[in-house]
Amino acid sequence: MPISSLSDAVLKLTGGSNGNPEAIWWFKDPTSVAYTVTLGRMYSLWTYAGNPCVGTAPTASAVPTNATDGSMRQTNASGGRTKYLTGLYAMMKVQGALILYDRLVHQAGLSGTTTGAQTTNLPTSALTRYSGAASVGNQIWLEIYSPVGTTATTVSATYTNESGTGSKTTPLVTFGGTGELEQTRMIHLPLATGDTGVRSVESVTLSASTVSAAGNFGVTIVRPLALIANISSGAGAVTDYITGKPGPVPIADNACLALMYDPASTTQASFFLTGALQFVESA
Amino acid sequence: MSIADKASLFAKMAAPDQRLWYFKQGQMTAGTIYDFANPNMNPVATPPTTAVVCDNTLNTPGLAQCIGQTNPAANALRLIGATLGASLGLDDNSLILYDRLVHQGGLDATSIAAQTTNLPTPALTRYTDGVGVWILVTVWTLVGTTATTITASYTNQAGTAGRTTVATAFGGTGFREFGRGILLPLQAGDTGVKSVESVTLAASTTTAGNFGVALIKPLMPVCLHRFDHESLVNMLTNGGFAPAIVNSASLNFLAYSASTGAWAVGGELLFAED
Repeated sequence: MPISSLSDAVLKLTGGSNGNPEAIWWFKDPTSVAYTVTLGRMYSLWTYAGNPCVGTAPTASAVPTNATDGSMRQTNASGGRTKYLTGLYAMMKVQGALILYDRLVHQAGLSGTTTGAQTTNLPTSALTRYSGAASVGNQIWLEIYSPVGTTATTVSATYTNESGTGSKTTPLVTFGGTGELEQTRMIHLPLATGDTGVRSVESVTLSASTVSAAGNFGVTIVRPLALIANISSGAGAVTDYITGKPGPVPIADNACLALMYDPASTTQASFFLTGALQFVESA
Repeated sequence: MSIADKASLFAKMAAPDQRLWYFKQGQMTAGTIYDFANPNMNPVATPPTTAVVCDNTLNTPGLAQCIGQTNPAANALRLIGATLGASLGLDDNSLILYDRLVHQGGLDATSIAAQTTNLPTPALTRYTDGVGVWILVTVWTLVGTTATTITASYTNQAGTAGRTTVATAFGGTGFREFGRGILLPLQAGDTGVKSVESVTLAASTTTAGNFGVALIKPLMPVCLHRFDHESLVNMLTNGGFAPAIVNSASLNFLAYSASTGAWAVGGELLFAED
């Protein structure tokens, strides 16, 4: 049983019965990465400088963990217990939404000008968290590490679904061009009809070149964990998983916790971001 | 220290072991972080003239006043709730309660050499492993209007010296005002800080002013929604944030607002002892 009652939560969050409460604080410097923001898009905070330190573009397919630069660096649960997220706080100048996710696998080195099926640093490494049948709910995102070209095209990926069936193909989505080319952009690839998860990605294909820049982008398979849907301008917000809904969020051992966000402003330099995660352990 | 159950928590909330009132007022620029250790209107702070370890007695008017809780004999104090309110413009504000571990002053915003005045910072006496410790630049008195960047040389959580922060904005509008707090991002591979050895500006801001470095440990968020409305915080509705307060912690706030103008923040903090 995770956390049995409010009394159990009080006990464990104040350090009793091996709750081992842990608070991880983070901040991201908006001036450390320069790009033009388009409203209604998701952006990765992986390469923002801050504390804990900045993450970098992978040079091969890799399974990042809680020891990887760019992650939140939380400790693993001890004594056979499970770690739970009980609170998520974030603050920035403008309104927006923030998603906390487990970065299951990532790679880069893909080109915005190559039109054949690209397999550089692919397939993605075997999952070590949310693998096999537990891959239901995993998502495919493309992450842009340096800008691709200004000519809009479409992109798809071939992948192995939650049942282990390979050669599945994502529906085409827009790639390249304003709003879909910028450094830190995260572009979600929807799954084929009938699929509910992903185990690996084998290739990525652009319908046409984005022309003006090859850039550098890659595939990240993520497991969304928590959301702050309406960060109020200035005040920030706390998503509370104790008396709020849903309940405490289980965090896998070695989870590479990272953030993506959807700002409600195009003034990128104003996006000072800070926040915290509160954890507790339970059987 | 732990609190056994919900009933015990409610009992502590109704009759906390320590209930401390807090009030600061000053002037803020929208979209920037302020360090309430340096209240920029009342009282006007006197910059530290040496590098010192901050503690819960750092409360002399004119200096960087802290909240000033009393150390319990068992070294077991926990913040279980707060009622805080702000009056600033028409927008929302946010506070982060932190423990100010060490600080210093006397740095010159026109000097471009590596500055070591009142540095290195003294050895930490709390959170001595440095993990999760942030570097905060505090502007004690107004620096210049020319924007530049700032870096610091520091020793990381592993004890490795000669680490360098990522350059970040310093000087110019929004980054020069007294009371401003500027957080310095760490070098790749690092998760915390044990000490700062020097600070370097890329260029002069054209006014020397006075600024310094503090090492801080953030502890609890407080979201202040709505102008002139208080925010009630307790651990069961605030995501479980109920930080243990180590003995001698020098508690203060970082503040952030989406408005420019005069501000006042006040309220009470509720502590439970084991």
